[in-house]
This record gives sequence, structure tokens and C-alpha cells, in this order.
Amino acid sequence: MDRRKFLKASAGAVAGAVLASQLTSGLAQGALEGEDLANLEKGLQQVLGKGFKDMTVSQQVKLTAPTIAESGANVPVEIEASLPAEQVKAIHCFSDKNANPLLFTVILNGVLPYYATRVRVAETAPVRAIVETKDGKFLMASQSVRVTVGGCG
Amino acid sequence: MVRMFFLTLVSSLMTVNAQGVDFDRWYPYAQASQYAQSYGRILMVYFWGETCPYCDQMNTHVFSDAAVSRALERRFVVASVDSQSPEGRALSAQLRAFGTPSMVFFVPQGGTWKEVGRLFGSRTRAQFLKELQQICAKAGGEGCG
Amino acid sequence: MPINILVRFTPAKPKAGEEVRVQIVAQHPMEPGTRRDASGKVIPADHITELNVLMDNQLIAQVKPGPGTSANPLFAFKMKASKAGQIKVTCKDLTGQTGERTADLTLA
Repeated sequence: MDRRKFLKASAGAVAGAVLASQLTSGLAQGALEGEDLANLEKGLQQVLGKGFKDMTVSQQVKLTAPTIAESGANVPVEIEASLPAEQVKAIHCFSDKNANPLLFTVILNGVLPYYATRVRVAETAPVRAIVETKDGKFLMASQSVRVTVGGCG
Repeated sequence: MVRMFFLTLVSSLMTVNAQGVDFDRWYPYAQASQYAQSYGRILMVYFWGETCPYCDQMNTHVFSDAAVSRALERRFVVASVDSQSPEGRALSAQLRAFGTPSMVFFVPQGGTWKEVGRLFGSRTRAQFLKELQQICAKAGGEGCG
Repeated sequence: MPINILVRFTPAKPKAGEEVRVQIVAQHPMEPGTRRDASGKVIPADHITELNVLMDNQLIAQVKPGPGTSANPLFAFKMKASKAGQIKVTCKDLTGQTGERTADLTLA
């Protein structure tokens, strides 16, 4: 482990730096652990016809997911928007490193802007919750989920 | 011995199936080791457990990755071993591979086997690919990627 | 065999105007199409592609889950319990199997 690299890593990414050799993308300041914007972009374009630059990071979107998942096969994800229900068209969810980055799309039409499910995360990467409003905005919240690597004794 | 019987059975099948072995698939240990010898490939003995989530992680996201699949198909032959089966338990004791997922690598050398690598635990696609390339290079030959 | 769906309301009998959580679970392997079996063969994709939630026959939510949703998937929503009515959940998967379940939402 390169000590200097370790010290330079931001506080939130310190533990992640231990896994740095396993990451294909760099641990730039502010980057989420396991970020893979190129792969995410493919999914965003395919599903939304929009790119990462069209997403607006928003406090109005609340994403609840574990920071560490013992198994990537079953990661609970909960998304809630603090917006009036009638303004929300859909909720989309992506994970940067999945072969198919789209996890799900939910179209809402009379329920509250909330959705909870369990997803597969291929390896340590950010999960992206994207709330699509009826006036065409894409509000986003991101959180990295670390998928434990290990073995069974 | 049971294994000897298997080898005889497999070699008789081999004559029928000598052409076009699908190296994208996995085989029982006896068959895979026979293929490794006949085709000069690196034998990867993969020990897995039905209930181990880390094996499921490897099976779902790593072994099916395009780059990992290509690397394995090019130079390796995979022996798929259920670590909980009687044969699997005997083999893991023999190869000292305790825990799953375990991947132990051998190359045929003068009628015996030379170990060229050993991995325990799940890993990311990028890391596994790098390790496969290192093991392939250690085993010698071309096409390690 | 039809896909088995379970529906649960929390609270079971909400008061009028209260928020109610609608929790739906489907029994389905949600095969992502990338998993290798014991002989290394890739198991073909077989997952739910669409799940519809209707209230008194009006579509109120539609999920398109895909291979990224876990086996035996959970789909949970929240709604205002403004009136009693019937919730109907329908779904279909890649192989053409379907499932349907109705549950009555009653108010306290």
C-alpha cells in the first residue's frame, strides 16, 4: 500500500483506499467509492435518453441503503422524494458497476413518491436514485455500497 | 480406486469427443484434469459451496464477465467441485483447499501436476482478471492477455 | 405455474387519510441471465419484467424490475388511505408467466 496515497485519500474514502488496487477508476477527491461513470452513462442514455450531466444532485431525494453489504445479492434500497406526489413521474435506480446498470424503473401515478425494494449490486459501487419529475427534471441522490469480498470457512 | 475408474471412463469418452471441447463450460474434476493434460491447459479447480454467498457473487458477476470468460476460455480448463459432496471433501483435503470459493491452479508437468497459483475468497472482476493473467504468465506460453 | 404474489398493508387497517405502506412480495428466482450453474453454463435470464399495482382497477404504480432486482423480490409503496378499495397486483416475467393477487384495503 502506497502510504502517501493512503494519507491523501479523503476521510470518507480512507477505508476504500485499502481496496484501491481493486478499483478501476481512481479515488479522486470527492469521487464515490467504486464510481464508474462510463458504464453508468451507457445505462442513463439507454433508459432515460439523458446523460450524467443532465442529473441534478438534490437534497429532495432521500436514498437509504447500507454502506456495507455482506452479500451483493440482496441489498435493501429505499427511495423517498420530499416533493408533492403529483409532481413525480417516476423513480429510477442505477448501480455504476453492474453489467446492466439499471436496477429498476417505477412509474408512479397516485401513490406517494416512495419505493423500497432489494437489489443486486455486482461489486462496490455507488447506487443512484433518480427521481424524474413531470416537468422533465432528473433529481439524483447517490451513495456508495461496499460489497464485501470474502469467503466461507 | 474411484478416481481411476473415472479417468478410464473419461478417456474413453475423450476419443469420441476429442474435437471441439467447449472451454467456456466447467467439468467434473477427472474430466477437467484429463482435458488439461490433453490440451496443455491450466487446470483451475474451483471449490464452491451451495450456501456460500461469496460463491454466488463469483458465479453471478465475475465468472460471467466477458473479459474473465475470455481469459478462462483461452488458456484454462475449469474443474467445478462442490465442496460439500463426498468427492469434493476428499479433494479439498488432498489439495488443502479449505473454505469457499477457492481456486487452485495446476499445470501438467512430466506426468504430475505443478501448482501455479491458489486463491481464496471472492474478488472483483478487475482483480480476478489480473490474477488470471499473472497465473497464466507463470504457467508459461502465450495468450495470457 | 402462476407467479405467487403476497400483499400486506401496514397498518393493516389504516384510518381515513392515514399513510399506508403496501408491501408486495413475489415468489420468483429473478434469474439475471449472468449466473453460471455448477457446470459453468450461463442460466438464461428469467425475471419479472413488469409489475402493475391497481386501486379499484386504476393503475397507480408500475415497476419494471429487470435483472438487478433480487430473487423473491420485494416491492413496497406508500399511499394515502383516502378510501377503502381493492388493490390488484399483476405481473409477468420473461418466459411469459403471469401472476395476480387482489387484497382489500379496509379502513379502521
